[in-house]
Amino acid sequence: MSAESIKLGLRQDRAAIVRQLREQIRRMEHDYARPPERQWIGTGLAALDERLAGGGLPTGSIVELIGSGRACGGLALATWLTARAASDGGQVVVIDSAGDFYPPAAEQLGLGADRMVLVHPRREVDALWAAEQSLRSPTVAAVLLTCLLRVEHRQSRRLQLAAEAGGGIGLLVRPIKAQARGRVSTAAVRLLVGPTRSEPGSVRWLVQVLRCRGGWPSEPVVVGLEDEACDVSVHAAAVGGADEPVLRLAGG
Amino acid sequence: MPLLSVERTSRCCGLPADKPTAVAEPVGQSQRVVSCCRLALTGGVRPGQTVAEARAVLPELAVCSHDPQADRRRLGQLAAGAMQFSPIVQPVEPGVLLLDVTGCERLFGGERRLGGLGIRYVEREGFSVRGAIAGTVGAAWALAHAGGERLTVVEPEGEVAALAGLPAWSLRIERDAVAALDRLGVATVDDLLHLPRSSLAERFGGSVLRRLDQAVGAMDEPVEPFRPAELPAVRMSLAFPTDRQEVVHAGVESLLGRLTQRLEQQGQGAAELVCTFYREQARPIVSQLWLSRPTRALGHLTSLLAEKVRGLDLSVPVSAISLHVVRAGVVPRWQGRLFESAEVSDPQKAAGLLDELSNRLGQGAVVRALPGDDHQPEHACWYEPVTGGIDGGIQRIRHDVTRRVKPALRASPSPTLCFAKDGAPKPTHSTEHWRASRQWHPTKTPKSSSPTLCFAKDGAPNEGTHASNEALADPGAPGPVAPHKGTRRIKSDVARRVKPALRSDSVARDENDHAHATAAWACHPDRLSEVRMAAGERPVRLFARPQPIDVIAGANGGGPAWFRWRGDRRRVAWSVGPERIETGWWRGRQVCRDYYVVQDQEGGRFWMFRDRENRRWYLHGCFE
Repeated sequence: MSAESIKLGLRQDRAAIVRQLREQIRRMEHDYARPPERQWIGTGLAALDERLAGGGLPTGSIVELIGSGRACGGLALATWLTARAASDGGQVVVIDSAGDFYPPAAEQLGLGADRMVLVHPRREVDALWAAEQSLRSPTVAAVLLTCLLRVEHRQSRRLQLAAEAGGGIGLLVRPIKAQARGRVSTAAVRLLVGPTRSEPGSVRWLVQVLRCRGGWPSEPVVVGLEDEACDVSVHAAAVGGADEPVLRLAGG
Repeated sequence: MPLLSVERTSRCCGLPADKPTAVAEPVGQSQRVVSCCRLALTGGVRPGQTVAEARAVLPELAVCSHDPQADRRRLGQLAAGAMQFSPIVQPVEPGVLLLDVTGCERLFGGERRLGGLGIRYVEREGFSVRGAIAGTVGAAWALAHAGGERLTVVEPEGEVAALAGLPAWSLRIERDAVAALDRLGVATVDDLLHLPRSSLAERFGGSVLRRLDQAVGAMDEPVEPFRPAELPAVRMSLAFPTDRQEVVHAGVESLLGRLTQRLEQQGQGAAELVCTFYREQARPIVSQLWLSRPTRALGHLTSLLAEKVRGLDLSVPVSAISLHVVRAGVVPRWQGRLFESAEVSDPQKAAGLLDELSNRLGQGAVVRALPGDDHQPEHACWYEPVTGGIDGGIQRIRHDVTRRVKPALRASPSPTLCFAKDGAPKPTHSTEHWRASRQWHPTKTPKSSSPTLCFAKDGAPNEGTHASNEALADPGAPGPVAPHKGTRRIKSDVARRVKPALRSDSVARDENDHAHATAAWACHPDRLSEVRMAAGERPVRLFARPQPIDVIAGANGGGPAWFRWRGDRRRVAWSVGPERIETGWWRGRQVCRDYYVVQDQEGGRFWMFRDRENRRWYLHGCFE
């Protein structure tokens, strides 16, 4: 954008300019060779969508979810996001090194078993290979990769390239133990997921956007799902006053 | 393999191995037993009986229908597999494999070892087997059928001596002739050999004499080489043995070209391929290729086999390569839609990926989940390999053995009792059940969270009813909280509905317990509501084995108040339950569990249960 056009633009709406500039940055940051034909898939969680550039997860990219502790809900959120990413059709590949991913629960989160292929690799190398192959395939809408302790920069880059080639979304779920924060990663979106108190009949996560290409990091925010079938009112009891969302990065 | 049919059928139907089984076919108005397993035989069942007779002898007999086609196919597969021992294999129905092992024994270290390997191969495939190696087909047949041992090896020229004590029927003589001989008092082969040949021919025609001659080696009987069910097979002998990968690769590629041409002519696609690399003075290397759907795409097959060739041990030079299709099927045609990107929905592309994953990571590592007709969480989900599931005989994997993959038998569908205590046993058998039990929807607005307590009697929280020292001593613990005014009261008819459901339990020894439970539940409608909410929620991670944990629980079968997991002591914010699961008695060990969904003070969610047999607590999964 030349200086002249910016001057012209001043007369226009301020927000439009900001949007234009953001788009430019996004292009510069990403692949300028290719026109931005990517799409954004809404997460179905309004509070999270607001904080993500483009209003959702970009297709053809890697999304990293870092669980801040045990039983923090990172995998459940990733399953939900995977289901959303594949909501327009396409296969889902779940690569589960631990071997205890439970499909009935995925079904409850909207990820149907009929579209899901489960892979149980024995080694982490195989897990990464399988993820790369799956991402590269245009028939795969989303790949969920769990239980990875370390992803080197090179591997991360390979996954990113594979996702760009295939056009799907790769979701990596990693524990915070891996010192994932602060390491170099090519993921387009990095989310830190922590546990938060919720009521029976709902699922809540505390999510912080650590990184979002074309957007800004955000403060932790509570996002949640409600059980529609649940018609029983929940007995709410206030304890300890205000519930300020706090996300502990220390983990464990 | 005397029990091929019954063993194959019982595996396909998923019957447990310790259940007497028989296969039957309709004859006129009645069903007749064709063959039955060893347990049924000892129970008094005989082939030829009607099913009604057999059931009268052995009431618990499971009867499956006879499928000779499938038996033939399975025998063909076994024959193809047996080609690793000898190039000349002949399957003979109903359950015999003839192998011409002349000259093959030196590759395997002797006849006895070769026989042992062959027997082990068939047993690994899941069939009981007896074998014999002899100089003639007739002798080997007789020894395998009538000899008492698992493997008999006859020394050269020892056929007559080995056969002498065997019954006459073992020589493959017709039934009428056997009956006639029996009337004459000719019971063994020895007796038969002592009869004058001329009178034998006069009385019984040429067939008895011919069989006798074939057995003792006076008449030649060739083994008809088996061609795997007219499935295309190609073979190439290399000009000289090679240990160079690129040569082997080029050979495989040209073989594949010929193979796909043959498939094209037949209008078929390969669903399973076996590629055998023959080596001099060493055992051939057999590598199998599974495909998720029949295909004859040259490029795809080449890339899959190239992966196999890359992993090949070429320390001993390869002298010949053969490639044969073990299973074939019709290549499904697919028509693209006009307004849809062809790439995204092309099943051929999707199949390509699955084949690639499956052939590198192993058939059992790439699976699809299937709903199991069982309420026990470990059994509510089965895994089926994406490849090789076309032709019956699919091996399914249980959730708790995903890490060490081996064929697992499916439990027979049996009555299950599972109450969510709202009186409605839940339907199963489809993913609809998983879905219907609970489905999450995004909330429109994020709300700040607040903890809720599980109410016990009269709406008082758990901790209140149980005078747990630790719970009360903790200054930070929230005090008992009164229920919110808006709490919905369950109508009394719901409470009453509980009773019949609990009564329907067939397990007698729990009768008292249940009566007590019924009484306790009926008068606390608040708890019913909680249980209804919990029904069906499942954790994303389900541990293969439930982990024992320390729990401090509320009184009167209340939910957990504290628990310790991996060294951390966690205080329970709320718990929802119990969801009672009682099932699995037909597996020998009944499972009686009260499941609770538990959230700790930090917000971590867990799924734990109390075993009602030993009253201990286990963590079974977490909503990670």
